[in-house]
Amino acid sequence: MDTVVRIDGLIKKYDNKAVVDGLTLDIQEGEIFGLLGPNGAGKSTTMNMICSLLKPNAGKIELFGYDIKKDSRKVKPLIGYVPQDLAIYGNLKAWENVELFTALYGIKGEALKDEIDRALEFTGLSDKKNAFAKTFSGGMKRRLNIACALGHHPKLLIFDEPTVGIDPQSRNFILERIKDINKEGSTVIYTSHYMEEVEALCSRVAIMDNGKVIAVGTPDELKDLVRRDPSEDISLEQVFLTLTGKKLRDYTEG
Amino acid sequence: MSRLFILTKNYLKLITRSKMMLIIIVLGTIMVIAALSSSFKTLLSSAGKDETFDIGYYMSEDSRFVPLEKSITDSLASQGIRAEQYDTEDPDDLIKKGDVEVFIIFEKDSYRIIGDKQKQIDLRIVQFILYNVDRMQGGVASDESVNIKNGTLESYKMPEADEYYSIVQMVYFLSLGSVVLTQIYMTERKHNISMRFKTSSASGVQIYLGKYLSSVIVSWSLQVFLMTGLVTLLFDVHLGKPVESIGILMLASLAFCALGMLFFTIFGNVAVSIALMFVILWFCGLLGGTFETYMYSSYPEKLKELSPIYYVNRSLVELITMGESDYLLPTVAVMVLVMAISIPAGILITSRKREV
Repeated sequence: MDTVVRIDGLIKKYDNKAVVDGLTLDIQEGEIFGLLGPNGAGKSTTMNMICSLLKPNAGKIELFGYDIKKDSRKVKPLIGYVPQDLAIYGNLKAWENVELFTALYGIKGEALKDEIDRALEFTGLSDKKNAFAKTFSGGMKRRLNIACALGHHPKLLIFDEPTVGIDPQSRNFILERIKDINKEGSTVIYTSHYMEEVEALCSRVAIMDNGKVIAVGTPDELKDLVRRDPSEDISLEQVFLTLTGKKLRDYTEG
Repeated sequence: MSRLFILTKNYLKLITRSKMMLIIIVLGTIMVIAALSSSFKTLLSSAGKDETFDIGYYMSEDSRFVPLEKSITDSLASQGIRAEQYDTEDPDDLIKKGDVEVFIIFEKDSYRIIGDKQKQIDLRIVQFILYNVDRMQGGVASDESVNIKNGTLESYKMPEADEYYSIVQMVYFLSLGSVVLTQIYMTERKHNISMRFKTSSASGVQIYLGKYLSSVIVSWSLQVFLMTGLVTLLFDVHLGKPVESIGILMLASLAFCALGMLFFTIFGNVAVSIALMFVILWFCGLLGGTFETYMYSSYPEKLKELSPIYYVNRSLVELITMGESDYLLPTVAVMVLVMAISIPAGILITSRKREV
């Protein structure tokens, strides 16, 4: 398998405090890679740097063999970013939102129409394509948020907590769709605070704390790290709490 | 081109779906024009009733001006000056009591103009008329058929209150044309939509132009064409030379949309951008004649020429009153200058903000 994401010695500082502190990580093609960590661990900062939204103070990120700093024009069409915020226009219809964000990647004409239909179909919004996004429920908005990142067929999809604040049905739908996206050949990076989601979805997981990866492996490998008795039934949440501690993590950005 | 077209098209949809903003822009302009032109029209007409300029004169029997007496009084009357003959050579009492503003004593070979020092302009006007009459004394100035055309003061039509306020308020609201983008900038900030632009392969130029073109299209449609039509229909105001006037308005719209967008691109905060834009354009309007009492400017010309709004106001008002304006070229130059600064700066800042 080819390495899709290669992060080497990545550092990001705010006011001289390292939020990401010498992070080194590889993500392979075809993986659904989970990035876990308590609030302030540095996972969102890491994702933002992978998406070219933030500039690292030091270190290097390569996507598909391209340096994101030097080859950003080549890298950007390969990435689809689903932000935690509902980054959609309420006063545009569902298809208009998808059209606008898909067209940003240079897709036009009939191909654009096809991609709009495909993205809306994929996210179960075909019958609501002419409805304004502001009239959507939370779950529908989350799905539209995903549809807006799919139109250009990205090879790497980055989901930042895509299931926050939605009902179990919508959550289940989104998780199933992410699996389908992965089956179609896209590599996925996924963050969430819902451990059961990560356990069910991800082939490999990295747990971050204080800007560093403190453990990385398959869910089973991570469980083995903290399991004292081989017969002990242990959840990913227990692994997470054992590795990162139970102390509350209140933090402010920057 | 496709990216730019779809961006512009969807921004246009967002702008036109924000109905309240469009209503405020159109109705606001109409209401301000109606209120100002109506109040100043009333004010002017009531003040105009008492505005007479009376002068007195004494004509010596042996004065060489006797044959020209009727021509002189007619000439003065054509300038709104009522001339009355008196039998006194001592006008001090008449002037003190306010019966006359100026008194002329025609002596045998000359005349004296007497009046209050505070009314230098009135005195000069009378002197100018008499000078022209005097110049024609030799040869033609021998009977009543004398035409003292050369004594007529050159003056242009003053703009009516309707015309003046229609122009200056149209221009002022035009200068605020970029506010139609407020809703878009607010939504993008609130929902962090800019991150989608940053992660996309669209360039800063395309992202900037998408917003710019949509605001210009709305401004041209509503503030130039619709407003010109409404002003013609409701206030019976016709632009002096329609092609030139609409050309100036369209150019001003291009410049002011670019200037307004510069505030949005510099400051991420929409409220701060709007507040600063309003303050700066308010001062430009103040110097440019937007808020001044009808036709009475109290600012030095040099100061007024710092305001881009002044050039647009002046050229449009002159086109109405004179049918031509020496300010056309300076207006074009100033608007092009505003664009030449604002558009590259806006594109540069937009591009910088999306770079890592």
